[in-house]
Formats: sequence, structure tokens, C-alpha cells
Amino acid sequence: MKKALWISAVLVLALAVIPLAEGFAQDAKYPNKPIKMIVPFGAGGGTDTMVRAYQKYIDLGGQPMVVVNIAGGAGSIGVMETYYAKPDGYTIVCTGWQSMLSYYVSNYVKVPVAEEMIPIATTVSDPDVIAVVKNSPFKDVNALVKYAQANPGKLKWGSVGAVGSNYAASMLVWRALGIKVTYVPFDSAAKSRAALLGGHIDVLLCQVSEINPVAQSGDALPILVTTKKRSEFLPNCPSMGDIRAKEEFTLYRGFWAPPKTPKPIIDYLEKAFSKVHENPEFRKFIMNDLKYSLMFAGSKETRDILNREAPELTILYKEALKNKAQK
Amino acid sequence: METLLTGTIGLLGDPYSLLILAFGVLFGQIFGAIPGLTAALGVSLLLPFTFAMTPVQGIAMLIGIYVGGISGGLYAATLLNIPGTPSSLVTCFDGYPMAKKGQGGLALSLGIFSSFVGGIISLFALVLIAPQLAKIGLMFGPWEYFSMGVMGLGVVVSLCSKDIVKGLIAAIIGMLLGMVGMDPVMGVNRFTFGAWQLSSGLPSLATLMGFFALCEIMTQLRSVGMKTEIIAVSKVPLFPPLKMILRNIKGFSLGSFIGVMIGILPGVGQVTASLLSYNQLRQISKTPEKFGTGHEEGVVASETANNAVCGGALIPMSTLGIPGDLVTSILLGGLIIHGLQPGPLLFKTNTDIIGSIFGGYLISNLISFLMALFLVRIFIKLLKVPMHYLFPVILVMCVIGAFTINNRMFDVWVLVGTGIVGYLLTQNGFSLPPIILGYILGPIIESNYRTAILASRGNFLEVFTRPISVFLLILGLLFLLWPFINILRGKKADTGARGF
Repeated sequence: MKKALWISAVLVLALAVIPLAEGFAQDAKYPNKPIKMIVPFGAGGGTDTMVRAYQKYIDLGGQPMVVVNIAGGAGSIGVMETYYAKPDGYTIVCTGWQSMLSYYVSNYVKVPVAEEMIPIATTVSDPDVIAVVKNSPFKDVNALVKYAQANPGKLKWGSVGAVGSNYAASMLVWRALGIKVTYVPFDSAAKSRAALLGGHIDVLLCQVSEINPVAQSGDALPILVTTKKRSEFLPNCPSMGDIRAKEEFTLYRGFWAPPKTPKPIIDYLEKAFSKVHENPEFRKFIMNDLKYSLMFAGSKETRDILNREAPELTILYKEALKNKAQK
Repeated sequence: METLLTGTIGLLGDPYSLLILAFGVLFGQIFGAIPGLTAALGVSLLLPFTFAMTPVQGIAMLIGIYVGGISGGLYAATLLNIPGTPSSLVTCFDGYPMAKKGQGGLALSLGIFSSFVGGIISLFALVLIAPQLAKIGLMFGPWEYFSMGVMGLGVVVSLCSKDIVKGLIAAIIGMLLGMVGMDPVMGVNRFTFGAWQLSSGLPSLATLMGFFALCEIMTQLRSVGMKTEIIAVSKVPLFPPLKMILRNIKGFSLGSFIGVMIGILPGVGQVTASLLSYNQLRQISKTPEKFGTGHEEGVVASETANNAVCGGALIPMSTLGIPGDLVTSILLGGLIIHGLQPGPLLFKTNTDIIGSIFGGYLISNLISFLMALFLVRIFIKLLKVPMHYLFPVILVMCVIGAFTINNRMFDVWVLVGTGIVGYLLTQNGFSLPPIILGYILGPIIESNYRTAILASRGNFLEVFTRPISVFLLILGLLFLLWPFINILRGKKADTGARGF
């Protein structure tokens, strides 16, 4: 009996210690303790690697930035952890408004996170690209369109996720090209790339940063970038502008704080992030190794972009949901 | 082969890299040995430290942790019936009964040796035929994954031949648990009861540790304070007896083959590999009835296969830049940080890096083997610590592990919850392996079926037009019918022991 008591005592202690660690330390000058940066994806992915570059170069008044990976739910879980965190500037997340908008519209979460979260800055953009495998019969967009128009629904068009930004981008491209295809959703980028190389799908839509390694080796052939301008990383690949389409999509990523975070804190962080962007070493890493396009839109600008582009994207997301429901 | 040689020599000639690699293996072994801490956790925790190293050193350390972490899981599995990492789960089936019979030393030595064999054979697959194997991996589309999952479910019969009805119920419970969270196609939340934390499903580490560690601890807690037989561990020989090695050649080769093949498929993993290997070996074994009673073949099947997965998973990673499992996807991140673009080009242009992956993998396996022989002696001493001190410590480690993998308290509650559910189920005669089988394979089957059916525009007959799918499905059918076939052949039906 005594031993049983002893065991339960240790257990209770063990469970009690963890939440305690968070409660200490308050206020004075911001920041006076480490800032927790949530990466809503696993360690080693593109977002994680980018955040770790910021971690290396950012100056937060001597306080470290601690990277915490909270993966799952297409990134929604890490965002929600931030949403419910204390708005004291010590918990922020790396995400983009398009993703957050899709969590809400697609019913992953019950609150309009994109509207309520406070943007700190949008720092990179990563356009989508459609690619085919190297021995594909379609060497360019025209061949693809010709085939798809002659055989509506025959083309297997793969991407990650069934709803959300990849699907929305796909819909934009279909609209621009005037084609009908069969959409094949995958649950991970690795699997979708393997499916393209193995010939299980005809076309893959993914981000430019993801296609780069297989494009460079010649195993995959990028045939269309989803922005008006060509991508700096795929200068030979036609863009939406080249085919005279007005549609455009690029995936933004940046940093966000919980709702109601005070303005001085946001200003402080915005400045800290913009400082990092002046560092040539950092710029080189993001461009050369991660293949993200660098940009800098501060808190207000990000909100402006959101206000301007969100209504159209919301319609697109809703349409995507409706398409799914009909199947 | 040349790449391997230059890579190995390069590492051997660089004492600092070698030291870092050895540290990685040690760290991995410790993470592997402690229930709750896993190889994936070790790799992601130490990833930031590799930023300051050269690419070769960083890769060497991460591979060391990977190999050490997968190898280290067998000690606790054998001695405590708690897998040190989920990948050693199947080792419990026969390792623990062997230890109970007083053959613990032999089981450990055989397990360590099997790990080594699995590692080395998969190394040869990696070095000699990686591009070809990667091509085979690419032949797997959604239908093939689906068929593989269905085939894997056939294993359930041999996991629960004692009480087939309860076994099937358990497998279905497992599949239901696997369905928790957002569905793979529509993105609709299922069985989350309003908890958004569940939308990515039950976190797998917490769930597996709940079922195996927490549940086992609760079961054994009942005997704390009572007089119990203490497992006496015989001395661990350096090598298992030669006769034993020779009579298990079948197991070594089968385990390595299955491990490598599973390894090259993204997202399938060690547990499935060791379960399949265990089941396969049992079906071709001369003494299938001994499986589960403390039979050496069971340990060989499990430990060879889970280590062979490592080499297998490195194949698509190094040739295509596509990670075979969680750990290799973190490894890929490590490459990017060092300015290397993982992908097909890496294999052609950065032969020095590929060489250090190969060489690092070889040396890791060697060091892991030697280190295991040393560490296992310490581990056995730890067993002398009374259970009422040991269990709370293990429990704390499980809590830390469950928390750290996603950095949230919610996962700890999942650990506690599944532990309690698992306890109630085992007390009522349900066995856990079929639950785990359903939990792991259910989502693979579902998401691939739905992807496949969308791709073939609703025509499920397409599954029969693909040779690999048909082959796998027939294999699965054979698994299911095996007991009946045996009866027809006049053999006595094998009664799975260990109370599955």
C-alpha cells in the first residue's frame, strides 16, 4: 500500500511540473524572456527550415527565439495553439493568411482565425507550378490543354490536400486554361511527388520550392507557373502572364500573433523581422537553398493584402467545398 | 560501392566526425532504450545542433541517432515487455517470453545481432541497387498502397488465432481509432467530439506508448509489493551461438527483404515491417506453434526487419529526395540547411555527401552493434531497481516523450486515455497487437483507397488491372486462409500462444 502511495505521489508531481514551467516571469520591458515561435509543420520541412534561418539571424534584444514544432491538421493545429495562447508577444506562429482562411472556410476550425489573428509581417511568397514527368506526352501547356479539351476529365491532376490553397490554385488554373480534369488529392508532398515520377498522375500542382530539385535533374518538367510574372527560379517556365490569363496565385508565408496582441509588441517584432531581411547572408540562404521569393509586407500591408484578396479566395474555397460535396 | 568505400574511409580518417557519429549512436541508443523517447524525437531534438557542423558531420550524427534509436528499442521490449520505441513492439511477442523462460541473455544477444544483420543487408541494398529499388518504389501508386494495407490486415488472423472473434473486434477498434480526425479527402472531422486538437488524429507516439507502456505498467502494477518472480537474466554472450545463427538464416533474409521493401515506400514504417516479417516467417516456419511462446525466430523476424527499414528508407531519400519515413524527412531538412538540394541530382553531383550517408550508415551499424553489447549490460543492472521505482520513472519518460513530439499537453492526455482503454481491453481478453495493426493500417488503406477511387473516377475494378495490387491482394487472401489450408493439408492448426 505504501508503495502504491509513493508511486502515485511521483506521478502527480510529474504531471504537475510541466504546466508550471510556463507560468513564471511577467512584463517589464518586452521582450524579457524567450519568444516561442510555433512552426505548424514537422521539423525539417520548408517552413521549419525557413524559421530556423530567422532564428539564427534575428535580434530580439538578446532574447532567444525558441522554435516549437506543432504539426498536424494541414498546419491548423499549430495555428490554433497560437490563437489560444496569451496575447503577450511571447507566442507567435509562422503561417500565411491563405492557409488560415482555408482552415475556417473548410470547417477545420470554428473561428475566423485569419481575421482575428494579428499579422506581424509577410516575408516570403512561393508560387505554385504545374509539372509533368519527363517522358510525358505533354511537353507544354498547349499540348496539355489540347488533350484535356478533347478528353474532359481524363487527365489525372494531383496535389496535396482535398480542400484549401492547392485545390483553390488548381481551380484557378483550370479556369484560366478552360479544362476539366480529375483531381487526385494526396496527404503528403512526398507522396504526390512520388506519384508524379511514378506516372500515377499526369500533372502535379505544387509549390515552386518543392519542384525545384526534380526539375533541375530533369525528372520533372515544369510547364506553368501560377503567377503573372515568371518565377526567378524557373526562368524558362511560362507563367500565367505568358498565356494571357488574368488569374494568379502565390502562397504567402509570414508571422502572426494571437488576437489582441498590443500594437507596440507587433511593431517591435515587425521591425525585428524586417532587420533580418537586410542581412545578405540570410537572403542568400532563403533564395538559393529554399527557393522562396523574398518579400516584405508589414503588419498593415499584410492586412491590406488580406482585405483585398480574401473575398475572392473565400468564394473559391467555398466553390471547392461544393465541388467535393457533389462527388 | 566505390562511393561507400570513399565515404567510409573519409569518415574513418576524420576522428572528429567519427566521434560525433559515435555520440549520435549513443544518444540514439539511449533514446531508443527508454520507452517514450524515440529515434524520431532524438533526430528532431538534435537537428538544430547540426547547423553549426559541416554537412558530413551533421549527416553522420543524424544517421547515428537513427540507427541507434531503432536498435535500442529491444532491451525494454525483451526485459520489461514494454517496447523502448514503437518499432520494437513486435519484439515483445517473443523476446519477453524468452526472458521469462530464463533465456533473456540469449534473446538480447540474438536481437542485437539481428539488428546488425538487418542494418548491414539493407546497407548493401542501399549501396548496390538503390536506383533500381527506388524505381520499384515509384511503381507503388494509391491502388498498390491500398492493396498492401489490405494484405497487412490479413496478418490479424495469425495475431489472434486464440480467440478470432475478439481479435477481429480488436482490429476494428484499432481501425476506428485510426479514423479519428480529419478525413483524408473531404477534410471533415470525425470522432473528434469538438476537440480541435484531435483534427490531425490521435498522435501516434502517445497512442502507441499508451497502449504498450502505460497499459503494461498498469497490468504489472497489480503485482507491485507482492512477491513476484524476478526475471533472471543470463549473461549476454557477444554473439549468439553459431548454430543458432545458421538455423535462422531464413529469418534474417526474409526480415531484411521485407524491411527494405517497406522502407522504400514512403509513410509505411517499422511497425508494419516487423509485423509482416513476423507473420511471414511464422507461416513458412517449421514450428509456427512456438511463435509467441518465447521463440527465437520471433525475435529475429522483428529485429531484422525494423532495422532493415532504415536502409530501405534511405533509398528514396538519397536517390529521389523523397523521404521514406519521419526520420528521413528530418534528415532531408538537415541537408537543405547545409545548402544541399536533396533530389535526384544529389546522387549524381554530390557523391561525397552520398558517400558519407553510405559510410555513416555502415559505421553507425558497426558502432551500434558494439555499443549495444556494452549498454545492454548496464540496462540489465537497471532491472535490479525495484519495479516501484522503475515504473514511475518510465512513466515520466513516456509523458515527456508524448509532450515533446508535438509540444502540447493534449498528447499527454491521449497517452493516459489510451493507456486506460488498453488496460480495460486487455483485462477483458482483447489483445493489443490487432488494435495496433488496425490503427496503423486503417488510415493507409482508407486514404489510398479514396485517392485511388477519385483517380479512377469511381471505378474500383481498376485495382485488379494492376499486377502488383493483384499479387498483394492474393497474398493477403492466403494469409487469411492459411489456417484452413493447414487443416486441409492435415497439419494441426497452429494455436497462437501468448494469449493473443
